[in-house]
Amino acid sequence: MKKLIAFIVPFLISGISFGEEIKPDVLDFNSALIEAQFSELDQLEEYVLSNEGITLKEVVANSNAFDVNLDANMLNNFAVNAGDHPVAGIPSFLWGCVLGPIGIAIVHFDAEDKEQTRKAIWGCVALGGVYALLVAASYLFAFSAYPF
Amino acid sequence: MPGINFGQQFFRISADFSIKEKIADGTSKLIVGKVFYDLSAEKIIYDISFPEPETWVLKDTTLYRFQASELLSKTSSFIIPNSSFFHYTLSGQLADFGLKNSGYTIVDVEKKEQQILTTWEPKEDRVKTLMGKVIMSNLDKKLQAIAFYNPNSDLLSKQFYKNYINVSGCEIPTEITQINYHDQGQNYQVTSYKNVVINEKGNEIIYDYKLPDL
Repeated sequence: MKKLIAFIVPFLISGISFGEEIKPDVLDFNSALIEAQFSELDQLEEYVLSNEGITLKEVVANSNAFDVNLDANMLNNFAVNAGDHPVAGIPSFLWGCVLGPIGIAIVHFDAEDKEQTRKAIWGCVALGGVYALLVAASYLFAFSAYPF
Repeated sequence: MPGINFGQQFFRISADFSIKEKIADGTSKLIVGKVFYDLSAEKIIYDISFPEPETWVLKDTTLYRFQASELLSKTSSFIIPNSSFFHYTLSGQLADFGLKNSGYTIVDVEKKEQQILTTWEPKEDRVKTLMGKVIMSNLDKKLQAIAFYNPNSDLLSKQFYKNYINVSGCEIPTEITQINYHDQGQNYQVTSYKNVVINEKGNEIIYDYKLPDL
């Protein structure tokens, strides 16, 4: 069943709709179509392979040489992540927002994931911001009510 | 153990790889590196050199992402190493894409020129509500192409396996083209393998990459 799930999940999570119905020639390989799709990328691939150790930043600096609209976050969907690993199923932002530094610590040690910790920190920052606004508002209210 | 090649046991594969992807929104991706897989360790290790040096390790349903040996993140992934292209290649199951052991059954076989076309369907009714037919073509018992459909017989994805090479008795396709069908259009992906090594001795550190919580 685990293997079957491995087949099914990619199709379910990628929000695929559909383009073609079953046709007798569905498995015919259209090499012209594929070559047309990859002509620019083939050149970039050749350049990267012949310049060992080159990084995306260096390629972007030389982007005039390639007519390719590269995705800046191209590694992010490499293995098509099915989702985060939030602690106890609660979003990391909420851990930081509700529990502050303690929430950040819980997320940091449980999730072992910098991205989750970052979300918890943003939650804590949001909590601090809301607290600061409330304090400022209460002072404004107090001073505006004070008869100078 | 159906599908296992008893004549010769293959347990390890490594190769240089490149993945080129053209997305329907017009953006492109290129990922280059080296991949390692060991049947018993059941970990796929991607030692990526481009776009940035990173090491990715897939174990069970978890993807570990390292940069300079430091763990960056741990996320869920749908790729299960023992249901992967590498596992099927080493275990001799690529010819049927592991469908025989994945709850599918053959419903039709026909010959088209020299190729054998086989149609598969899920066995279980509850799976039939999620997935439809799978059609594959084989030439000389080697997988050439495979197409996945939904229960309404709409095409989800198709893959083409080309340029087979024989390395130490193991047949390996070195170019895999995949077309995925989305609301927004079609995504194209070509994966290429070079310098394929089978049953490499030593190099345990990379094949059984140490993970932080194992």
